[in-house]
Amino acid sequence: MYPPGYLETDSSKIAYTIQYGTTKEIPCFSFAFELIAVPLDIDMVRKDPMGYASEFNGLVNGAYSVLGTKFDGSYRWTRKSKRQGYQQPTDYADDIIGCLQGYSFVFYSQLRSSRNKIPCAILGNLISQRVDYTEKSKSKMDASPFVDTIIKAVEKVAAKVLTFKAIGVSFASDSDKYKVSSRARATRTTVKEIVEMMLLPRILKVKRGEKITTEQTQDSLWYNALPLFEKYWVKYSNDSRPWFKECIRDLCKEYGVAREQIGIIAAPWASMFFNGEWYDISFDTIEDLAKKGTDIVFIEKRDIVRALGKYASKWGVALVNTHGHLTDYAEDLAELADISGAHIAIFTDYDIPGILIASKLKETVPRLGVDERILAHFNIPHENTRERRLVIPYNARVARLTEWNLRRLIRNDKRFSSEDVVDIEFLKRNKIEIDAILADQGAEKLWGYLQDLLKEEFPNRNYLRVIDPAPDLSKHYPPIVQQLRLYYDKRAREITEPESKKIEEELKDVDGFIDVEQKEKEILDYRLGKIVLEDQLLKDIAEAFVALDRKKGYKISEIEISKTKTITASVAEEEEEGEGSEK
Amino acid sequence: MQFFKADGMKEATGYGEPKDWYFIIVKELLDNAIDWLRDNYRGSADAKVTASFTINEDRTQLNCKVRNSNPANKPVHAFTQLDNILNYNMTFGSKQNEYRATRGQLGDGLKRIMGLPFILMNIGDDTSAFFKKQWDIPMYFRVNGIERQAIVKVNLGASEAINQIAESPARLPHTSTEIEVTLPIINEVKDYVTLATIERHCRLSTCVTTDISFDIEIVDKVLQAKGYRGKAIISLEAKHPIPKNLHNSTSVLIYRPAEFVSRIESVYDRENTSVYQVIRKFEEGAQMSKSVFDKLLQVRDSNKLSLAEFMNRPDYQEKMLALYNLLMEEANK
Repeated sequence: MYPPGYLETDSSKIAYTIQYGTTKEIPCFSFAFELIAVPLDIDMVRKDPMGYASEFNGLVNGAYSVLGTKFDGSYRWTRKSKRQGYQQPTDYADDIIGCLQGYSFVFYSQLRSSRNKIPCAILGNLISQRVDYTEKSKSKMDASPFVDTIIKAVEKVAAKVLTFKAIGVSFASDSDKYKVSSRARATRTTVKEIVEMMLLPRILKVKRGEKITTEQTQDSLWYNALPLFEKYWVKYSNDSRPWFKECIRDLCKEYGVAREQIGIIAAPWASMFFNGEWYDISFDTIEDLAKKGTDIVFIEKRDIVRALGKYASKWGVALVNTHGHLTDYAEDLAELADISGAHIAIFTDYDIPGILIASKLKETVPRLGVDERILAHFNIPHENTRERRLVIPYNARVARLTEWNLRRLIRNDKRFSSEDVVDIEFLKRNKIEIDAILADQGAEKLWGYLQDLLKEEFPNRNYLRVIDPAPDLSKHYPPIVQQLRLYYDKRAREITEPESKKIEEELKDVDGFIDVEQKEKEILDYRLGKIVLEDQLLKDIAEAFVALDRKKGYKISEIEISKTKTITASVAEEEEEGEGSEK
Repeated sequence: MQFFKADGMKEATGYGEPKDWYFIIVKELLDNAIDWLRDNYRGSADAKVTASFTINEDRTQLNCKVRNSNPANKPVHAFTQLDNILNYNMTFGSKQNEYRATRGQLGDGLKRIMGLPFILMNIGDDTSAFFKKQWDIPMYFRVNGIERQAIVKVNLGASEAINQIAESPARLPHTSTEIEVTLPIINEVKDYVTLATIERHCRLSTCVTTDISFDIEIVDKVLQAKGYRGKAIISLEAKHPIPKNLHNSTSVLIYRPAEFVSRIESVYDRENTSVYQVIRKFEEGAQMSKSVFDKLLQVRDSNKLSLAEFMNRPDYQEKMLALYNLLMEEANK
């Protein structure tokens, strides 16, 4: 389509994005819009900056309309301004080309400015189950459900495409005169772009429904990125690592995938205590854990969680140990739990890091302490006395926050802004840990205080999250029903005992390795399961029940057992397959 | 007779100029091949489309040949029912009212392709009504190892189009599906239907398709006769298998109530299609137990209740509404 050398071959200068959207009303459907802009060869453009223009081709589900698709619709957007408080005027366009022009792409031999994007071959592909065309040629459609998503894609791509200025071309205003500097300004690749370069292919693979089978940690990914940083002249140091990880998280969030889905694993670094049990908070457990507890209180120390846990569980409250800081998982859990109807609160030390941790959760999440209120409640003085030495000096090894930023944070967050809650002057040099309050008051009293505060913050709670209104009633079934199950267990154990012993001997001393899953299946389904299946006594009892069921018309045997296959069915099916292949 | 009149072509496609019609054919043939592979070879990494577009020595004909792989020799039902597919008096579509992210856009595509040579050769010629000029180069359908060729004889005056479909006795050495059609290149489009424009359309039709391999050859024998290369090759390797979850059933939420009714009522073979078969095509219908539908429709087995029978029931409208509400309820859970 384009002659060799016409397009830029440096892949770092190509901009690509895929944006996802969902319609809100019926017809409801999800869709995606991908946009790629490949700049024309930069040397070629520098030689004749007025001679080339961008070109757009639109596709729908990868298919091209002979007359071209411009995704007609009513485009309205306001560009973000770097100058704070300055509101840019709203721009309008009737199709994607107008929108691209609004984002400084040049399509015709119009006058240009140095801030215009260099000419590109642009391709947009709408992926949607439903497209309502307004013309039989199917070149025109009602693009209104897609417009916002298309604008987002245009904005993303435009941010990555170079301007004339960046390639060393300056236009005189309102004329076709220009000057080309001898050297193009070196373009800097950012950490964020490297993260996209590394992870976008994986994300797109997952979005296509494929699975990523390899696993690596965020830190190992960082090491994989180092050669790319060198290659693309990225400015970085080891201090860039947290930002690198944040870019990973943001990118995953933007594309609606979990890090684990794209093969990045992170250790669970937060845990929940509920009903006497600890649960690791991780990608696999987060959804279930979000449903536990009428209230979830995030506490930064494990010992405190343990001490308060038994009192909290009595009232259906779950406690989360965040290990000193809010991990991504803990933040995600808070978000999910909030959506699912739990009350969320946080309890941290009375120090600057404690304030910082709490500020990570949104302002509607109350901080229960430690603060001036708890000190007043338990009559704890700001200065140590002979009997009560609860205050310790605060000396940060690394200053986490400048005083100005601390004051700004406290002033702008209504949870901390009152002097009755946080005393900045006190925090500058002192701290009071939760442990100190616990030592001073004991767990029960401390929990009582927290519970009262929770009640004040959230007067009502949904106990359906904790109490099952339709619990398992099997313990109240007639004894014979329970005895039947016990009888089957006993009989099965007895008849399989000799074979079990044989298996025990075999497993004791194995030469090399065995596939555990396969072996377990062999033992359960074939060696032991088959004995149980073929036991005449068990069969007779079952048949007697079936006959009774038929006679009385209870329809017990019509009840579906479960979605997973029963052993009987799976063994029978496999035997059938085996016979088939032998034939 | 709309399939054999320029006005019919304009009306059906929305494209007013004959020069665009050639590219509709190029695109439609490629799109159909891609859609078929995606429907029938999900998870396959070897799906391939091979095509050739050849302009003949005197630039009077464009031969289009598009083939998609079918190594498992899966039956291609559409082409075993050529009489239906090429029946100009009825609509025979398997995809109508379905919302899926597919590519083929032209309704009754094959009939349009079949009729186009006749339209092109008679453009601006009023005498065509007198049953004189016919297009004698057959359209070929090669599927499941069998070659069928079809010619249509058109009598506009009598509003008559008669297909002559013949099956070749010899079996093909391959099981791929191949459509071959030759179009006359009329004078007014000679500057537009060129190697470069065909290549451009082929590239645009394939450039974002990353799950299927392409081998496309475009040849201009006029250029070759003049000593130029006269050939363009598009060779693209699939980057990944066809996604396994592609074109899964669609949610009822994507349908407006009228479209839902139409989706069910527009099934062509109502006698042999059960209500449950259609319900299962909705994501929610596939997830719910059949017994729920048996109960709602008050039958022992909704898989044995044909659509025709259902539509004749006195409570049909009431039950359709109940079905719609049930699926919506499931979707909103």
